[in-house]
Amino acid sequence: MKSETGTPATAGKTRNLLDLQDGETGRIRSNRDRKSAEMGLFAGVRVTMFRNRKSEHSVVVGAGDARFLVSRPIAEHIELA
Amino acid sequence: MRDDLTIALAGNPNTGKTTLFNLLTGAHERTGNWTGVTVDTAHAAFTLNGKTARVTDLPGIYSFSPHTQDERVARDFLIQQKPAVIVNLVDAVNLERSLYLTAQLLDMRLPLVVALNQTDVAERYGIHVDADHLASHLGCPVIPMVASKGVGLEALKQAICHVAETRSLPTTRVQYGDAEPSVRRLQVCLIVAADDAGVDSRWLAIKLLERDPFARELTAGLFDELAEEECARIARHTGQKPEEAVMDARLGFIRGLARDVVQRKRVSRRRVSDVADRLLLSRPLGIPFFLGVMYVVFWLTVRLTQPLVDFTDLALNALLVNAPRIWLARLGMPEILGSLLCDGVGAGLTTVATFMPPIFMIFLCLSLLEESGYMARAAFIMDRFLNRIGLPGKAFIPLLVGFGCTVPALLATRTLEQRRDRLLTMLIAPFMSCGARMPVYAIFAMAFFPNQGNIVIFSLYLTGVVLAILSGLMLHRTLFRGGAASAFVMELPPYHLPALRGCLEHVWANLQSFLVRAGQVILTIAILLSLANALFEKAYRNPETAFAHRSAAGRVLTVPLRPMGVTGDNWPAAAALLTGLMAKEAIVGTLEVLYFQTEKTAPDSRKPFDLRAELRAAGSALFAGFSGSAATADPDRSADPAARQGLLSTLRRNFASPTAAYAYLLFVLIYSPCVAALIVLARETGWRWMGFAVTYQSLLAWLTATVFYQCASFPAAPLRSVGWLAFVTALTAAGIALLAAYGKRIAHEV
Repeated sequence: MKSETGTPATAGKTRNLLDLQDGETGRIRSNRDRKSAEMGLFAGVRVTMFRNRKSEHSVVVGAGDARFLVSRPIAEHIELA
Repeated sequence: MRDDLTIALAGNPNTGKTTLFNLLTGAHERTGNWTGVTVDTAHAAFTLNGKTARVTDLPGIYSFSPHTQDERVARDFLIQQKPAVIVNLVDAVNLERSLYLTAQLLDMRLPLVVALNQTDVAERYGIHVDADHLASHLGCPVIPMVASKGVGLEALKQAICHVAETRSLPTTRVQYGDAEPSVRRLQVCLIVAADDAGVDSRWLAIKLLERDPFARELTAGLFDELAEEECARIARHTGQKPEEAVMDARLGFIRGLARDVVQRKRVSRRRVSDVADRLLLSRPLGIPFFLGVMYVVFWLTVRLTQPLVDFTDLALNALLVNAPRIWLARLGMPEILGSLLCDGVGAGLTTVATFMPPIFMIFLCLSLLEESGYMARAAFIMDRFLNRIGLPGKAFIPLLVGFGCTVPALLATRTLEQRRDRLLTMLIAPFMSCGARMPVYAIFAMAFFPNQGNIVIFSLYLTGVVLAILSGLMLHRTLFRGGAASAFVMELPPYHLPALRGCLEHVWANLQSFLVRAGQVILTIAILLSLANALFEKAYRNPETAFAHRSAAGRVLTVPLRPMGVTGDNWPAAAALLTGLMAKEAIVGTLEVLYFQTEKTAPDSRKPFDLRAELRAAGSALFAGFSGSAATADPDRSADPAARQGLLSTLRRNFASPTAAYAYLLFVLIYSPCVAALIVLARETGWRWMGFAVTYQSLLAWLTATVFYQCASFPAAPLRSVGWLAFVTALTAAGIALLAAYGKRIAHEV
């Protein structure tokens, strides 16, 4: 499993879930999507990206032992620390 | 303790609620490995300490926020029915996530027992949850359990009895940090209103701060202004929206709790499911694997069960239809009684029994796939296709459920948040060919395509899926006027070996329900048809005259179906489509009864009957089918007259060609769903949308079957085919224009 790296935040741009590549991990700083937060993708949770392809509408992300299919528009609202 | 104890099971999806429900009550409700399996409440009862305990299994939800209908169903049940005890199942493997709903249940101030389920899986993953410590934090009993093995069941029952007897409420209240002063101020003002509404005042205050429309309804809007003032105060103080501040406080409570009670031996682990997903979700393998799996399902359903279907058809026809007719005639019984018992009851029972092998097999295959966890991945695989028609990948789950039955497929759309998504999914769900149509396909495939039956049936299912996508695309651009697919998030459960016992129980429950429902409809129709025929013959006094009049009336039904290959003489095929509106399984039963009636009146149809010969033929067919020599056997060329009996050969005589048979199957695939599905559709969307669905599907069925038949028979009659194809093209263009125009009118509704 890769460490918490992924695409570093450039000046003025916050990192979000879509910035993680396959195998990379991150910690959620905030999630403006209430539904996904209630399902387990809430602030403080460590997430791992399992599948992120620009051509696909959804990504597969893990939080703890749960796995989620998350649409890209929602993943964009999930900010990483 | 009251005589009747009401218990509600609440929790996230896939935490074992339905498993526990079945364990407590001995019921056989369906468990599924994805969100949305239970979208309505299930009820059953059991005896607890000599009293009757009525259990309600609520839909699996992540919170009581009013995002989807299944969440509203669960919330409304708890508030309106006020169960004596709520059993909240939490997943020991994903405790933090599970506790979000628990925190909301604490706010609701209802009698609570927490069942900490899947502790065995948690231990295997190196996760230990201190149940006693968790109980002290939550202020209510926490019972460690392994529901799938019955571990912890007795302790749970004792806890339920204790909470019910003492009427104890949880002693813990979630504190809302910076929002807490607003909660308390609002709570004081809401005491009377909350009491009138039958809810806790603190919970009502929290809901108003979260701007929950349900809370506003409960208070008739009288406290909206006050709530908005407090919301503004929270926003000024925290810099956040009040609902975000409430959520953050709740999550803070949960995080602190989890840190205190959960010990993890390993930080992270690679799961078998993750490795499998890398392959099965990949672009090169994903779709081919899915199609391959579905093909295997159809091969098993058709090929493996074909010998059993042949045997059942021949043997029961002999035992329940032909033999009793001879015996009743020898006893001098009236012919009408013979018609009723043999052509009605006997033929109906034969038809129902013939369905059992393929229905059993397809239910078993789908159940195994569901239990394994693979079906949830189908939502990911289909996501890119569904996006093109403006639907989220999550909409594929209800569509998949439709392969079993359309009714639960329509209900499963309750998990979709947007009304537009729900409407469009409900309009295309019936194209996923339900299990009830399988007997029709199987019988026709065996009659006309004995060596390629599984390919033919697979092609029908594939056609249904393609038509669903094409219809969705067309409706998306016309009636629903475009729009991007709504975003969604869905949990992927881990893969696991399906529990065969659970699958078989599920299959048996479905089979029972099918047999009862289909049996009632088929028997009723068979009895009514044979009674009508007998009365008809009696009225005309002459069987040939009755036959001629009946055929003339029946031919009228075939007029609209002629372009798709149904000849005037084959009017039973048209009549069967009408009875198919009651239940699709009734199509084969109707064909059997009506074909028998038409062939019985033909002068040379009275062959000598030999029961032993017919049973021998049935046994030969079974042996030949399983030994692989069935392909060389042609019942029509057999010297044994008994071998020519049976629906298969009757079908071959009445349909002009395999092309006409396939066109008929296309019509059956696409046209209006059964009455039960239509009623659910009307209830979920309104009568207008139901009417649209019936019209659209029936018209599309006719168009598709006609195009197929005319194209396939072009060499034989090119001018006729060109004429019909031109007509179909014009009709289709006019239909699309009409839909686009109507879509503009109703744009605000969808």
